[in-house]
Formats: sequence, C-alpha cells, structure tokens
Amino acid sequence: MSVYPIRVYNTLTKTKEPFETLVPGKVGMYLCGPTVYAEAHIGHMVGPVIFDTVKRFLTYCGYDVTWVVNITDVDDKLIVKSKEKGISMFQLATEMTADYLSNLAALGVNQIDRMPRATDCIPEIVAFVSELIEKGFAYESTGDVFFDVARDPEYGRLSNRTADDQQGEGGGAAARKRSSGDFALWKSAKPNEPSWPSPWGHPRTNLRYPWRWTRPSLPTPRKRTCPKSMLPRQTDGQVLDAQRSDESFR
Amino acid sequence: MVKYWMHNGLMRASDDAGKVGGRSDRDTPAAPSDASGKISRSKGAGGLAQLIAKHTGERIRFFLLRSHYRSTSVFGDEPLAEAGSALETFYRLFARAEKILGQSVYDIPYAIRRSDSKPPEASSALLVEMAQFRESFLTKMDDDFNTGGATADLFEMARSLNRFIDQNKLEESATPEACDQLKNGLSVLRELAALLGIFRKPVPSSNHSSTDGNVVEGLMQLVIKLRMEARARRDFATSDAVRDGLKEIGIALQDGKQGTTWEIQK
Repeated sequence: MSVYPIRVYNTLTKTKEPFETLVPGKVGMYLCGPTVYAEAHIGHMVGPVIFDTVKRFLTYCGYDVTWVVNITDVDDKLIVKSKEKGISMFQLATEMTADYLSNLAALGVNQIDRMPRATDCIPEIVAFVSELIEKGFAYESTGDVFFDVARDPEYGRLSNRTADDQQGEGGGAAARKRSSGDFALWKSAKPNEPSWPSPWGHPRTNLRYPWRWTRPSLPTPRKRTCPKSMLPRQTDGQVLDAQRSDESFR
Repeated sequence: MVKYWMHNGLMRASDDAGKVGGRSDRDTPAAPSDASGKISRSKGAGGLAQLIAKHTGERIRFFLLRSHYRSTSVFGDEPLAEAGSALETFYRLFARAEKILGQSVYDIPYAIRRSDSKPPEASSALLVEMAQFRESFLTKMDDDFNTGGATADLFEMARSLNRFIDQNKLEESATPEACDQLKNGLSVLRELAALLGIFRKPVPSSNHSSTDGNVVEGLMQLVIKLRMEARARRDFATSDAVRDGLKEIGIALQDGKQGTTWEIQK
C-alpha cells in the first residue's frame, strides 16, 4: 500500500489503478529505447522525458526506482543504413547512440540506470528464444524463428487488436510462417551481415525486436508477449514495470 | 512480471494531422499509421540537435511536459516558442529574486523527499499559499502523472512570489524576515520544478545552444568587463555608448549588487 494516493493509467485494463508495487518500496521501469540507425528526432524524446519525470516523482515519494532503457543496435534498418553510408553496422550504431545520449543530456534526462545494448545480450536472447521454442510459443522455420501468435489466446489484448489484424511480413517470410501475424524473433543472416552463433544454425542471425529480451528481468516466457503492433514503435510503447526482483538488474 | 503498461501519446507535426487520430489515440494505443501525421524518420523528421541549439533543451523538455503524456501533442516552432516565453516568466522572477537576496535562486536548497516538507508557518501568508499550490501540484502528479496540470501550479507560485516582491517593495529594501520568506517560497518552487527536471541550473541565454551560448556568454562577459573598467575610470561616455549600442541590437544590461547581467529583449 502506497503512502501516497498515486494512480496509474494501465493500458491493459484501460483504467487508472492505485499504484502498488510488487515489492514494497521498489519499482522497476522499462522503456523501449531507440533503434540507433539515424539521428534522433523530437518524437524519440517524448518517452525518455516523461519517464525521467515519472522516476523523479516516484523517487521523491520514497520509492527505490531502477530504470532501464534498451538500445537496439542490430536490426534490418541498421544493416541497410550502414551499407548506404559505407560504414560498418557497429560504427553506425556507435555514432547514433552517441547522438541519442547527447540529446538526452540536453533535455535533462539523467535518471536512466542501465542502457543495455542488444548486441551485449545475445546469449540471453538465444536462451530466451530457445525457451520459447521449448515451451511451444515459438517455432523455427528455415533458419528464422517466429513467435506463434495462435498459441496465445490473450495475444493482442494490450494493443486491442486480434492476431488477424496484425500486418504480416511481406515477401518470402509469409510462406514460412504458420500464421500471417507471427513475427520473427530471430533472423538468419544473409552473406556479409553481422551474425552470431545460435542453435538454429551457424553462422546466422539478424535480430529483430531484440529489446523484448533485454528487459530488466528476463522472466519465464509470458503468454502475453509484446504484441507485434507495439513492437516497431520506440517512443510510444513504454512499460512501467514493477519488477519482482532487483537482483536481475545487476 | 509486469504490473502496469503505460503508453504515451504520439507527437504530431500539425493540428490537422492531430484530428485524424483524435480521441481514439488518447484512449487506446494508436496504430502507427503514416496517414496520422505522426512524426517519423521515414517522413524526414530529424535534426533534434539543431532544434536544441535553437530552443535549448529546457524549453523542449518544458514543452513536452506541458501536455498530459497520454494526449497527442502538436509539435512546431510556435508551441516551442510559446513554451519559451512561459519559461521567461520564471527566469525573470529568478533574476529579480537574485538581486534582492544577493544569492542565485539555483543555490537555494529544497526538499528532495515528499516526506521532508514541514507545514508552513501560519504567520506567512506567502508560505501558506505556496503550501496550497504544492498540495495542488502533487495531487495532479498523483493522478497519473499529470505534468500538464501541475505546471499550472508553478505559474501560480511565480505569480504569488512576484506579488510578494511587489507588495513589500523588496526591490527597494528588504528585511531579513522578508528575504527568508521569499527564499522559503522559492525553495518550494524549486522542489516541485525538480520533479519536472527543470530549473536545475541557470540557462545562460534561452536563445542559444550550449556551444553558441558559451561563446556569446564569453563575449558578453568581456563587453561587461570593459564597460566596468570604463566606468571605473569615470569614462561614462564609453560605458553609456556600450550600453546603448547593445540596446540597439536587442541586448539589455542590468546593473545590480552582484554585478551586471544581460538579457536578450523580446
């Protein structure tokens, strides 16, 4: 029970709920960060400024708040853009991350505790995808791994859409998926693309939406994973995530 | 496990675009539609660094926090300039207070925990009023982080503080008791502004980026120093020529206890 009558609008229930933490006095916040393939625009600052303020307020109210913002530094867009620029994907990611950080600093966003990069979390991502496959929520198809939306009756509840509403990926991917709404968790690398070893063949990988897996606490796979419609939007898909454990932050 | 999912509204580039998505965007997470006018890289948005150089980070931050996070905000030079002139209200108050107190407002300590705040002395009408605005501000923040509503209380506070200065003619002479009240009142304003992440440190000139600002600030300090030296040797013709010349290009000098400050006139 909070000392102060704080209420939070929960997108899932579409109501304002009394703010109560899972662990007394502790709050974990996770915000979908940027895909660092180009300079930031003002839209990218909306989430950081708001959640920087939320953290300041909750800290002021006496909570011990840990805030994590991920950096997606491997993605199709990065690969395309770095080729255009004639630099490596890693160099592009480094430059654009620096741009992002300097913009955050200029706007007084200085409350972020951790900013994990997707490429620093590959083993965890592989382990998580493996677990999803093992539990039947994802499947491999010719080197790519897709999330099986049909396995989740709750899928789309957060975005208020059904699995059928989800835009399927075009091109060759469609034929390899069970349902058009399924989305890629892991992509096989094309020649000359950055790659990491994985159980689904080697060398390959071209991660898609990896921030799902860099969450502060890597939980047991939940049935209701981030619906696809939420995924590609960096600045408008935020989570205030009252975590069970702070150990996994370290 | 996740307990609360929060989503902010989209940033739109024009009013017209805002109306397309309208209410549904505020009530439900909007679908990313290119027809919605949402600001996106694919439509050529960018140049945030230039925007910061033009408007300052504090102004952009204040602009973002003036609306409710779940609402759709319309972005452009005009609303940003508006946020800028709103901020000037506070900067002017801080400049006034600094002259009276002989101390920068940015050095006044403030409560960093909600539980630290004590009830105000009932004898000070100003501080009783400030406590009421504080309560109102926090009530809005408790209600789903309504920063937009909360900023209105900051303006009320600035109005009260300015009125206190005017009514007590503190700029002519100020008793230590009046100074204490003013300082305690400003402390409450700073406590709440800190929650929004604003007024953390002085903005040298709201019209300049940090790099340009540093150069301009350096130049202005040089001009001010040369003018002071002219005055010291009673060369008032030169010191007045400097002041008038600056005025012509839109820069006003203000001489005070703590030395000379400058600001760009609107």
